[in-house]
Formats: sequence, structure tokens, C-alpha cells
Amino acid sequence: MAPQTVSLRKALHEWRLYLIVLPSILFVATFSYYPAISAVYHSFFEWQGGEVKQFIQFTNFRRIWNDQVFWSSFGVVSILIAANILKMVPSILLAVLIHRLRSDKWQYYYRVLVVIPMIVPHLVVLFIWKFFFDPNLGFLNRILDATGLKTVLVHMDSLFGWGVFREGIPIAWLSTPDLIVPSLIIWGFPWIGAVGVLIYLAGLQAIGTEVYEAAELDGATSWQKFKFIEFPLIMTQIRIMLVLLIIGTLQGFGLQLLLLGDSGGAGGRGMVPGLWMFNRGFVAGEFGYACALGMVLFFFILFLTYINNKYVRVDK
Amino acid sequence: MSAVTETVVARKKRFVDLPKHAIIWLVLAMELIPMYMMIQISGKDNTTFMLNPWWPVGLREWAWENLAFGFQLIGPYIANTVFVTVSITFFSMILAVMAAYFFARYRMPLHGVLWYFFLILMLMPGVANIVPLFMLLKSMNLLNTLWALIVIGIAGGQVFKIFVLRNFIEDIPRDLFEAAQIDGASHLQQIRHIVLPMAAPIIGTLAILAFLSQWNDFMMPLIILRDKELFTLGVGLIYLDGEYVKQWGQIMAAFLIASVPLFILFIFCMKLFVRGLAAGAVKG
Amino acid sequence: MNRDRIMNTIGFSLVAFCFLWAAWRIMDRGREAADPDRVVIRFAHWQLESGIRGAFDELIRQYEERHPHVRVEQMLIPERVYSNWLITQLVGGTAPDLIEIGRPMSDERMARYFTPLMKEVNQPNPYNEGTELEGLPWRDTFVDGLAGSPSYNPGLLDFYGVPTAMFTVRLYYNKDLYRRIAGDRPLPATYDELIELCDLVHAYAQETGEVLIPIAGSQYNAPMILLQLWTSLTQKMALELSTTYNLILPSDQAWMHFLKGNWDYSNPSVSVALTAMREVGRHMQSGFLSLLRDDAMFYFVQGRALMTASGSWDIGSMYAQAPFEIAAFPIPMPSRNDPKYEDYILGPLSEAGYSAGAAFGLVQQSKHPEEALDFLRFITSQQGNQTFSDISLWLPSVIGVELPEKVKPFDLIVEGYTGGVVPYFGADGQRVFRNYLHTLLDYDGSPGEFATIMTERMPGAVIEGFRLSHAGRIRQWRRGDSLLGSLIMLSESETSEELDRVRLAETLEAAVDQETMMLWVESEFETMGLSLEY
Repeated sequence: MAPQTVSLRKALHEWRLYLIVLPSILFVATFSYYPAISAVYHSFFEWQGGEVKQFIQFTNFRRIWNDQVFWSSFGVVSILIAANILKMVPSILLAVLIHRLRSDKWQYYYRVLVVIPMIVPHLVVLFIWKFFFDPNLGFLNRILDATGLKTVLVHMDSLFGWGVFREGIPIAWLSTPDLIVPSLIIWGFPWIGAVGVLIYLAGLQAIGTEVYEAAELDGATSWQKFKFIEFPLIMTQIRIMLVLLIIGTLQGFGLQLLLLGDSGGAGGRGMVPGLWMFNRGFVAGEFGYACALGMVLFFFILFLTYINNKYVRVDK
Repeated sequence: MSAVTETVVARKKRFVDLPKHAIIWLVLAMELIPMYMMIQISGKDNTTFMLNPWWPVGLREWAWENLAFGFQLIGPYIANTVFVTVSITFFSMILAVMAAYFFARYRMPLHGVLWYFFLILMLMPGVANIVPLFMLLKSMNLLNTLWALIVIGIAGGQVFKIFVLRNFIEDIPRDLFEAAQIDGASHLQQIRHIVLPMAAPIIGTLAILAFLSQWNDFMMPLIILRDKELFTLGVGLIYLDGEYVKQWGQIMAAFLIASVPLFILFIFCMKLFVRGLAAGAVKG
Repeated sequence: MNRDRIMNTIGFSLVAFCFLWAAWRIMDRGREAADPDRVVIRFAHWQLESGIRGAFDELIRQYEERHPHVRVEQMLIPERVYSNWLITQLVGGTAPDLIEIGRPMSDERMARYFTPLMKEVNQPNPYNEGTELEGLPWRDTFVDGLAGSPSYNPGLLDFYGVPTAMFTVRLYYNKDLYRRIAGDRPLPATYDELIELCDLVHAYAQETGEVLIPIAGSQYNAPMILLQLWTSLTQKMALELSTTYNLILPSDQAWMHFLKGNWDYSNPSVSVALTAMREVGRHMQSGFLSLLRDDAMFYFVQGRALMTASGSWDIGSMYAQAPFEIAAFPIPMPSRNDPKYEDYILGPLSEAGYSAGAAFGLVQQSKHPEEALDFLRFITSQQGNQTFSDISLWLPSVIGVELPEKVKPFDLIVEGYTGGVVPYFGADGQRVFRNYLHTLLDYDGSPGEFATIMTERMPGAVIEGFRLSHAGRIRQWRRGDSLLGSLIMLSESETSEELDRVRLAETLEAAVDQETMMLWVESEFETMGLSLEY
């Protein structure tokens, strides 16, 4: 039911309602809005974090214009966004697979099993993956050697001239500049997000059995069922996850910080915009510049959200 | 259909799903590898580990002392994290429910302004805020305290929760509220007796999601906390990785212990979580 | 439904219980820490090597015994988070009292957050009573006289840190393995002997089928050997380039000559240096440039490599982790008596100019500066430093400390010559050098390839380096003026002390030196038609 409209006179009588929303507003205003406005304000200053700051107008922004590291970090993050979008596929497929099982009991069990890996704290997964990437002891290299994939990679390397995979040399995933972005993409294999799977499953469950029966009668194959029934009907969920994913990846830098360090790893190849902001602020101490970077990032996200709203429409 | 054909069809039906099961198990197995590694490595000392990194060690050779060491390392961190996370989840849910009630039930003057006030925040890259937030905390003398984490955690989670909760509360039939109002219930009482029970699944899910994200957070503690005694799991694990690198058995044991609270949470809230996500997802 | 309710109730009560336990622990902690009579001093460092923590713990124990009302806490900050930890603490006002300095830090930051110690270092250290250092000004009790970075900051013309250890670099080797491979052969004293030893290792590995490499390298320790080769083989070249004839070619002058074209990568010195670097690199494990510090250490302590290069800071860790006997010897350089090298080399490199490290600076925000400084005096007294050196196995920074046996091979080699040209200039230069090192050292790399790339990329990086350092000098120059002004007034006032006049003289000399450099860079750039502006 839509909210009840309340006239001004009645509102004065019901003033207590404002009290109910007040704490929320206070918290958000103080700890989200004020910093944001302060960030905008300080982006026009040269500020090292102390009480001293110097008004330099647009110099920070001019510097950003010429800042190679910043713009190439957008390149990196675009690749990551594309990769992350592709990484959504396994979750969707898994949800469809589970959904199509006949036994409800098994569906429930699998739901639970999908959630169990979430028990391991995120940081721990990160560090275990770091261990996987280790050149000497790591799982990844061992598996590549054992399955012979390593030889395949070495061959491909000589074909394409990458200069990265060599016979007999353990692959240093995180210390080889050219391998950093691939490492970030590989990370998290097989890319199943428990929350995603559950959300898609829930969406799938809303599809009535009549639709399936009609499809069966028309002789639809599994793939066609997916393409014409399931995929369109979970579009809302996919769209939400997509938006969250894009915004999240654009500003995210925790993964890079922990896996690669605050300079984006070997050769700085893992530098993403968020990490560069963090670096300028908390490593180099150039807080004013960091605020300016943040503002540019904000406008980027705003722009992308606007496009998303305009062009990605969902037909019910 | 004859009896024979029926059984044949039934048997066929049973095996049709087999490939699906196989694929699902394969995928799940891969997802569970980090967990397996964590558990089996935690039982080895360094030399055993170098010799045999993959396969678990028998119970007799299990290095139980790793667990003791691990607990000593991160016990305090767990205490801090529990305190912070539970406080945040609790208070932020209360505040969010109240605010969502405000937006869902009535269209008071300033409704639009306030609603956009919250909405815009969803777009802001939180990254840009870290620096001024830090300075704000400094001027409030909250740096290097757990209260800073709590306060930021509450503020940060509001927007999303309010958004989802508002949708939910809007769907609660108005008559329930009107009946309560006739009985003389104040707004707070209405929230307590109507909203809470009816929106329980979604509240539970939001709470669990908030709990999880807060439990895993390391960025804010990294920046705000200095004293080792105050560290939450997030930062503690980072420092651990930096300090004790290459003592894998002990580190994994510590990681294992760090997973226990979440494990307990899941055992008890599994149904709630799964059901809540279902309810919430369709709405979204 | 009932089962659900029971589960949920248990769940919630568990949560409540845990919360209460956590809250109680936190309150308890708070109560403990609120003791008003106790002074708590905190000091922070990033030295994770084996033995350091223990050494400091012992020093803390001894200090707390003498001063029961003081509690000292040691904070270890992992390198990974160190930079942002430092900024957050300094800016946020929650920094510990003493912080280890030595990581690159801008002068502004140093001046803003740390206390200059000129006065204090010129006074005697009371903890040295009863030793031969009694009565000597604190600065004179150190092996390097506090003459260099990080203790003395030339940009700010003042002392900002007090060091606790000295560092040198050597080649560690596996004694057992060495005996098996080379028997009674004397340790290599020249570069050629080192290569011969490497060949012996390969032969031995072939014979026995063991997987062995001569030197365990990594991106962290390979430069130690490579850079030394470069600086040795460019000694004579530097001498020829030097226009100021003071036996050291500062990096500014060396690289200005580069920009002017007085030397480049086709110079025979450079070619010989690059060839030697490549040769040594081929004796390290494949792909070593991608490996990290720990990886090389791992190889070595597993007995898979005969030697590995590292600093004296790793003595403790090496001895703790290696299951075999280890020792160390200086990294052999090409011999000047060898006709192949006599045109390029003057002689072995001297370590006399080394400055002590692991220095601690006093943070301005400290609530107990006096106590913090006192603790610092204690740990850098002869006795304190002796304890520290004994436990940590680090080279001492204080005069008269006896070296533990294991540390003796690392003692400073004072006799020798100064180095030649440094391989890169500025942060950008270093980055370019490291990024393209693989073209020299890779399996299919070559000195020629490296030289080509360097010729292409280094000039730009060097120019950038000069721009940055010039901007820094201008800032220092302006700052220096007000410092000089106040020192002049101070030394002419009625209450001036001898120390003020000495300080004025030293500062004036340093300031003039810097100003000269600044003007020289400007004039050279103008002559070359290059711009120092952005």
C-alpha cells in the first residue's frame, strides 16, 4: 500500500513521527553526508591531512587530467568489470541447475551447501588464495604442472610471444606484471557467489509450473527453456546484481590492497581507481588530491548509473 | 500406462537428474576447497606441511597445539569483533526499521526531500569519504576506539536496509495499522507489534547480511585502530599474515578459529537466511 | 515450527552470551589501562626478523626493572600496511612515542611530526657511565657519528633519529654443502672465482642428480649483488667523469653527465658491468626476478642453493631456520689485477661510509617525550646495545660493543675504495631500471637489449628525477633561509652558547652546499635546453 499522504496540519499534530526517523538521519548525515561534502570541499585544496591547507582551486583536477596512473587504472577496472560480469554466469547456471532438480529435498540441501563456503571469513579466503598463487608451494602451479596445462601454456606463450610462461620456471602469479590482471580474474574460481545463487533461485521459484509444461508441450530443449523462460524472468534479479556489481567493482580496492599491496603490485599493474585514491591519501598523504580523485570517481559512477537506468529496461 | 512402463519411466526419471547432481557436486567441491585446505593444514606443523601440503594428516599426528596457538593469537580479536558486529547489527536494524516505517506509512511534508537524501547515498563511492571521515573521527576523539567502528557501521548500513524495508512495510495491509491506531497504539508500539512480526524474515536476512559484511570488514579498522588489543578480526588477520608468514599450520589454525563464530551463526540461522533471501529477492 | 523457535532461541541466546562476554572483556581491558600513575611508552618498528622482538623484549624488561613506574610496549607493524599505518597514526594523532624512521619520508612530514634532536644528541648519555664512552656527547658514541641518513636529515639540517644497528650485505653459504661440493677450496675472493664456484655447483648437481642452484636470488636480494657489480666496474669511469675531484661522484653529477652525453650505455665500463651482471644472474634460479624475499630464503634453507645474498639483518632468521651450518663472506668483486677488469676497477669497495640504521625518531605528539628519550638513551648505551646485539645478532651501532661470533663476518670492511656510478637516479629511474632488468637477465635477454631500452627510457626518468629533487631543493632553500636567520639572531644574542655558533656554522655550510647544487642543476639544464618546470 502506498504511503498515506498527510496534510501539513495533521503533520504538526503527528510531529512525533519525525522523531522516529531522526536518529537515522542524524547518523547518516554525520557519518555519510558530512564526509562526502567535506571531500568535495577539500578537493580544491592542497591538504596533507593536518590543520594546514592551501586553496589551489582546480590544480588537483588539472593534475588528475594528466595523471597517467589514474586513467590506466580505469583500464584495469574496466577489464575487471567485464570479467566480473562474466563471473556472474556460473552463479546463474548453478541456480538454474538446482532449480531444475526434481527433488525438493535436494534443492534445499544444495541451498544449504552453497551457503556453507560463506563460513570462511572473506579475508581468510583471500589469504588462502594468496597461498594458492604462491610460486613454490601453491596449489595453482601444482595443478597446472600435474594436468599438463603448464606445458600448454608454455606452448601458447611461444606462439603468442607473451614471455611469461617458461619451462621449468614456477609461475609467479602475483609478482609478474603481466600476470597480475589475469590473477585478479582467476581469483575466486569457480566464481559462485552464495548470495547470488540464492537470489536467483528465489527468482526462479516464482516461475509457475504451467510455463514449463507449456514449453514441454512445444518440445523446447533445455537451452531454449533457459533462453526464453528462465533468463527473462530473473532479469530483475540479474539487473540488480549487475548494478551492484558494477558500482562495487568500480570503487572496490580491498581485494587489490590485500593481494597486491598498496601500489597495485609488480609494475603497478593491479592499480584500480579506488586503490589509487587510497594510495594518494593514506600512503602518500596527499589528502586533497585523494578527495579530488574521489569526486571524479563519483561522477563516473553517477554517469554510469544514469545510463543504466535509461537503457537497461526490464519488460514485465 | 502399464505397470512395467510406469516403473521404467520412473527409473528413467530418477536418472535424468544425475548429470545435474554431478555438475552441482563438482562445482560445490571446488568451492569448498579453501575450507578443506584451511582445515587440513591447520593440523600440521611446518615440516610436515612442506613434505605433504595436500593430504590431511591422521588424527594421531594432528598438531592440536596449533589450535591453542591460534586461539591465543586471535581470541581477543574475536571478542572485539563480536562486540562491534553485534552492536552494529542490533542498532542499525532498529534505526532502519524506524526510518522505513516513516517512509512507508506516511507521506509527511518533506517526505520527498528526505527520501532522496537517503537515495543519493547509494550512489556515492564510499571510497571518497574515508579521508574526511577519518578527520571527523579525529575531531570527535573517536580514533582508536571501537565506538568509531560501531558508529560508522550503523550509519553505513542504513540506506540499503531502509530501501528494502520500506518496500516490505508498504505491503503490510493498512487495516492492521489502522486497527492498532484505533486501539490507541503509538507509532513505536505499532512498529513493535505489527512491523516486526510481519517483516521478521526480511529483517532477519538483512540482519544476517549486515552481520556478515561487518564481520568481514577490514578497511575501517585498518585505518582507525592502532592498539593491538582493539583489533577486530579483519585487521588482526592482515597483521597475522604479515607477521607470521610461512608458518602455515598455525596461521590456518587461527583462520579456522576465526571461522567458528560464523559457523555457529549459520547453524542457527540457516533457515531464516535462506527463506529471507527468497522473500526479499522476489520483491527486489 | 517449534524446532525452529527453539533453534532461533538458542541462536539468539548464544549471540547474547557471546556479546556479554566480549563486552566484559573489553570493559576489563579498559579498567586495566586506566592506571594514572603508570607511564606507558610505545615504540613501533617493522623489523619482523627473528630475534629482534626478543631482543627488544629483553631491553624492555631491564628498563622496566630500573624504572618500575614506566611500562614500555613494542608494536610490530607488518611492512604491507606500514605506509598507511604511519600516515593514519600521525595524522590522526594516535601515534606511538617512538617510531622507527628510515623508510622514505618527505621532509615536510618529518619536520611536522618528529622532534629535532640536535640538543639532545650533543649531550652525554647518562647510561654510559662506567664505560669508556662516559661523558662523550651522545652522537659521538655511535660508530658512524650520526653523520648520515636516517639519523641526520640533510634536508632539514637536523638530527631526527637515533640508530640501534649497523647493516652490511654478505653472501651467506651452506657450509655442509660447500664442503661436499668444493672440499677444502678457499672461499671465492674474486668475481671470477665466484663464477668458477657456480660452475662447480652445476657439475656437482649433474653428477649427483640433485636439484641445486649456486645462488638463490629474488627481486629483493639479486640487486644486492648486481648493483655492487655495477658500482665496482664503473669506479674508474666515475673518476674520469668527476669534475670536483673529491673521490666520490655524487649521483646528481653522475647522471647530469649522462644527460649531457658524457657517458651512456655503450661505454665499455657499462658493457662489462652488464655482462658480469648477466653472468651472475644466469647462476640464480630461473625466473628469480619474480620471486620475493622469502622465496629465496626458502630455497636456501631447504638446502637447494649453495649461497644467497642478504643483509646482516637476516643473521638471526638464517640461523634459526637453516638446519645446517652457515657462514658468510663478502660478495666477491672483479679483481683489479685481472687484465679483463683493470681498466674499470679501482679496488674493493669500502664500507666505511655506511650509516647506522634501525633508527628511532621521537614523535612530536608524544605525551611522554622525556621518558621516551630516556628509553632511547638506554637502548643505545653501550650496555644496552650490547644486549641488543647479543640477542638479535645485529651489528651494533655503538662504539665498543663486542660482536657475537656469528656476526663477525659481517663486520664493516673499512679499507677500500668508493663506488662508481649508481645504476639509476630518482624514484622513476629506479622504477625503469627494475621494470626492464628482465631484458638483461632473462633466458633470452642480453646486455645489448637492456642497453637499448635504458638509452630509450632512462633519460626521461632522470629528467623527472631532477625536476622532483629540484622542487625539493627550492623548498628546502626557502625553509633554510628562515632557519639561518633565526640561528644568526640566536648566536648574536646575549644568551648564546658555543653550541649555537657551531650549529650556525654547520648549517651555513650545508645550506650553501645545497644552494650551489640547486643553481648548478638549473644552469646545466638551461645549457641543455631542458626545462625544470612541469
